[in-house]
Amino acid sequence: MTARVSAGLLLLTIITPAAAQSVPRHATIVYAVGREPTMPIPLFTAMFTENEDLADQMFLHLAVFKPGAQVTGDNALAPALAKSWHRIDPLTLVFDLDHRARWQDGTPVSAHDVVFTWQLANKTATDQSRLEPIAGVDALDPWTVRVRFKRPFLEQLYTFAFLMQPLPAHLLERVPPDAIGTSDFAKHPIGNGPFRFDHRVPGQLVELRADTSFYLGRPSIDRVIFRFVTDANTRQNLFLTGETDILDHVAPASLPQIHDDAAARIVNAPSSDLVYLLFNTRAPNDTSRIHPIFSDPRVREALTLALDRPVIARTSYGEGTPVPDAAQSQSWAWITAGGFKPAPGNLARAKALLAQAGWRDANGDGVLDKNGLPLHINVMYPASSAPRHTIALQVQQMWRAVGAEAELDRIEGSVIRGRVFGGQFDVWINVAVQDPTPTSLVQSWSCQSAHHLPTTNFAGWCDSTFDRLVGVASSAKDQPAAWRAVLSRMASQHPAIFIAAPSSIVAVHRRYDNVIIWPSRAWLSLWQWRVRPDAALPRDR
Amino acid sequence: MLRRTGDAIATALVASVVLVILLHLLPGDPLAAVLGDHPVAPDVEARMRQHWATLPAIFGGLLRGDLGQSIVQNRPVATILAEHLGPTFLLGALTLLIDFTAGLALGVWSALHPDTMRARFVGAVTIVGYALPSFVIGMLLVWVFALKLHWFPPGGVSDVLLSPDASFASRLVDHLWHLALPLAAMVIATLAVPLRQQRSAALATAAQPWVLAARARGISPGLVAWRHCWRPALTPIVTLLGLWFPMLVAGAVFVEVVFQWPGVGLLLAQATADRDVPLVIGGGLLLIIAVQLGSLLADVLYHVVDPAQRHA
Amino acid sequence: MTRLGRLGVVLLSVLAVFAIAGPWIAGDPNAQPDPVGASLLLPSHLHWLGTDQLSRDIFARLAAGARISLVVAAIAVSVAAAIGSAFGLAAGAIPGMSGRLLQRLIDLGLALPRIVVLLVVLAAVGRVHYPLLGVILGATGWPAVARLVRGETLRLKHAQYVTAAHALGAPSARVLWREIFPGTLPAVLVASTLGLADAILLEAGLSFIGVGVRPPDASWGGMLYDARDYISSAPWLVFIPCVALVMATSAATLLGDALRRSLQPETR
Repeated sequence: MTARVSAGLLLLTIITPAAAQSVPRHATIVYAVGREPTMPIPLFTAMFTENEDLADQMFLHLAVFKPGAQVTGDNALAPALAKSWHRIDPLTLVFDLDHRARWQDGTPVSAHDVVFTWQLANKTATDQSRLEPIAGVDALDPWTVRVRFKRPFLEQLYTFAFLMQPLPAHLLERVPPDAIGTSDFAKHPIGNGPFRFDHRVPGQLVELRADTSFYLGRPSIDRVIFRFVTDANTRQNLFLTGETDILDHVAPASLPQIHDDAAARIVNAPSSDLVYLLFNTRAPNDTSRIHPIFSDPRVREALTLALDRPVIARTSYGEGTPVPDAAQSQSWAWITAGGFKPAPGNLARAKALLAQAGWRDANGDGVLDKNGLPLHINVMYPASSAPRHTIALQVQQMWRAVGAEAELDRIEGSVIRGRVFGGQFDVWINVAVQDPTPTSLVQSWSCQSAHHLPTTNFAGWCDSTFDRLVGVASSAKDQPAAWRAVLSRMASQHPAIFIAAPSSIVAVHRRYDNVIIWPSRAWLSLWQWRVRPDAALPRDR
Repeated sequence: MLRRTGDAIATALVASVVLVILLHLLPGDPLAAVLGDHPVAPDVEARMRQHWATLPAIFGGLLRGDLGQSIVQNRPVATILAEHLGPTFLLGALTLLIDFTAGLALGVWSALHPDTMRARFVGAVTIVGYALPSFVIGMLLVWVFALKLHWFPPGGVSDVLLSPDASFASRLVDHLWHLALPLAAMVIATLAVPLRQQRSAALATAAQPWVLAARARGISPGLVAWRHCWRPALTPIVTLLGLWFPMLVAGAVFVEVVFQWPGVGLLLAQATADRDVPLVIGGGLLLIIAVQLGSLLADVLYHVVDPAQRHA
Repeated sequence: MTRLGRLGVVLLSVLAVFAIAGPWIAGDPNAQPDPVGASLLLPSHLHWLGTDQLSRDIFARLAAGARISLVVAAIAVSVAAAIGSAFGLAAGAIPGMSGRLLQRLIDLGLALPRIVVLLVVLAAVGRVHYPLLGVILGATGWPAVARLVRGETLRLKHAQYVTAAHALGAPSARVLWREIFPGTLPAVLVASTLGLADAILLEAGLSFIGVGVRPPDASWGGMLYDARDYISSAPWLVFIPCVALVMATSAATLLGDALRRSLQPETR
């Protein structure tokens, strides 16, 4: 059956000698990813999950967050590269680095590396909004880092410590920032984490080996292989035949097959994914004008009520998938006690709202129109996503019942990016990966983000009341209540139709113990997974 | 012969130009493949776009023989193509070989024993195989032989866990093991064509007076077959070869997708989706050259097999 | 016509009737009455071939798919035949530079791998309504027909020279139209019938890669694409479109074979 994974603390223990002896010599884990991680180096990952996941094995964060907990406050994180920290004043934090930390070439990790990385981020980061609140970073001594912020806010610790994955200054200082991407370091990264880069076979795989002298303890996995297989079906087949050990994004259709597989175990973990249909506020062919259909909030509400969202969530992501009413993924479950309670669909009310808003079927073709404009909606989504295809097909059918005609635009990723960033869409089915902290809502839903490029607020949504509530919540004492107010406001304005907050369903080979999967950085504790000696496979010996 | 080669080269060149111009039609750009959903400032985007080759630059590069860099993989296109040539050639050549030898043998055999149950059965099976899309055959093979029986791997070209210093023999076996299912899919999907050609050719030849005369003299049917029927039956094979060379390289796309066989077809499909223009041009060029090579080869073999026949 | 040829005709007729009448009998191929409760049902009196994962009636989708797959293939073959015949006739009949130039154009068309051109063009135009997909397929398939027609034209031209009392250089337009063009028709007909099978398979393959018909339009290839995840849990989702595909392509092949035997007895 499914093993419910408890979101426990990341305990940094040294594995006892006895335990080490019973671990198979070359415990191996093979993980098939959809795209080759060509840049598994912090600051250069372009936020591709493959790059980030691989980088997490080689480069430590300053501190790591505890899954499921709020990321506000100074106790929100657990130590990693930084063994402790303390606050000097509301604007300043001081971190003490672990003296034992070493780069894989032997050089000790020092505060200078942190400062260097911060400076490099300033020069190269394509998205500066994350760095904006930080005023300055400097080294007080070789193992102490002082970070000064521009203003007081509750998530200072998270903003700096989790996002900071130091790079080795002694190896990169003399390389021009533009050249790092093609440097020898990029081809063979040297990190400070539990695994070291072993070799890459271009187009096929990257292999990592355990760093046996890792200061937090010898990894109980010896070999990590990231294998690139673009086709999701083949990834599944490779897992079922035992060639790979992890299968993520398990499709609901495949669950019965995997349940039946004696060698597999399904792990359900809360994920930070959020699936929604985004209404564009601007006209797609002329972004200086407002959208002719969606600028009326009654239409947005009607289109939301016309859908049976729990059914859609269930068919696309599996039974029991939570359905939110606002931008809330499972990693923000702490905001609403008692789980997600989506407002039910209401076909009658949807029709009434559309009639109120002036939409009638003047020519009897089954599609509503108003002033000669038919209720014709273009729904755009990437061709690579099977769940979104399922969502789109159902949305199309359900909207037909209220007289809205949806045209499905299933497009390749290379074209979607241009259209999304250029605001050339009616409705876009997006899957957003939420930050652990709700203040990140400003990046995609604030008026500031609507009017300044670069931005992820593709629809250009702007609501001043919402912004005000977010500001209040950032420093409120009762965090959950304050953020509930924020989400309520969003729900009442219907900037998007929120379809699902899916879980992360991962299938793992049965021989692994101590499997913990994290909400947004899934494999942070891969190095502590253990192979049961009695269940070892040939590749583990 | 020389003129024919010159023609082939000229055609290849012009075709390449047309291909490059066609690619210009493509909307979208590689930004998505390189940056994903990551927002970047407009000036950064502009800088990145500038960095990528423009159409005149591509032409200039091609004239110099430089295929450029893949935008997504950040490696020379030539290197990537070289890596994919091996698997493509392996799958294509073996399919051709099996198609033509089995097709020839079965075709002649069913021509000599027409209207028997066995011949009809063979005919029916190959027609069904031809009628089924190759990717369906692939899917079914994976389901039965890889997932249910665990006899063969479901995809890929080799075992990733094979250590780099494994013996040549074990690596060869591993490659063949991975080749089995894709090859089976390709052969099943395509065998009907050469087989039917061979059968018609052999049937036509078997009706010739001199063959009948030989049989009347008491020469055994088997001997008759192999001495008189197979050579004329080669002519259509050769014509077919000219048409099939490119078909096998590009027609393998669907099978390559199902098995994730790293051939040029899969590469092209992926590169087109990514809008990795230099890579698409490189792959397309490869196919164009393959087409020309195929028809050249066919012409040469034509003359070898039947120098008496007039070149149509 | 041979027995097998007649079988081919029968099969194709059955499919044509299915394609025309099916959607009328079977209902909406896109209706999703109950995606949770009524999905993946086995055949019953309500759903003659069962339902798919979104509770859509498979019989209805198969019929709609028949219409789409057959129409796309028919259009593709017709367009290829029309363009190819025009080019081939011209290339074969017109002497001198122009004729050679046309021949070069045909060679060029043959030199560009069809799948590459299709991938690029379909990526450029995006999702299109299925008749237009047929036109695009046909527009990439004309070179093969053109080469065939050119060969036939040359053969007939020389035959004309032999039989005609006066040989005056290029055949007049009248001769071309009245004698040569009809002479090429048998070859074109045979090639087109066989080409029908190829077009059906090509459309299925493109839909399988994801660049074929526009959702929610059902095509047999698209149905296979959707059914890929369900091959273990609901194998009939894969087998049913497969059977339809095999029927259609073998019918076209058998018919083409029979036509060739009767119309072109001189060919091998």
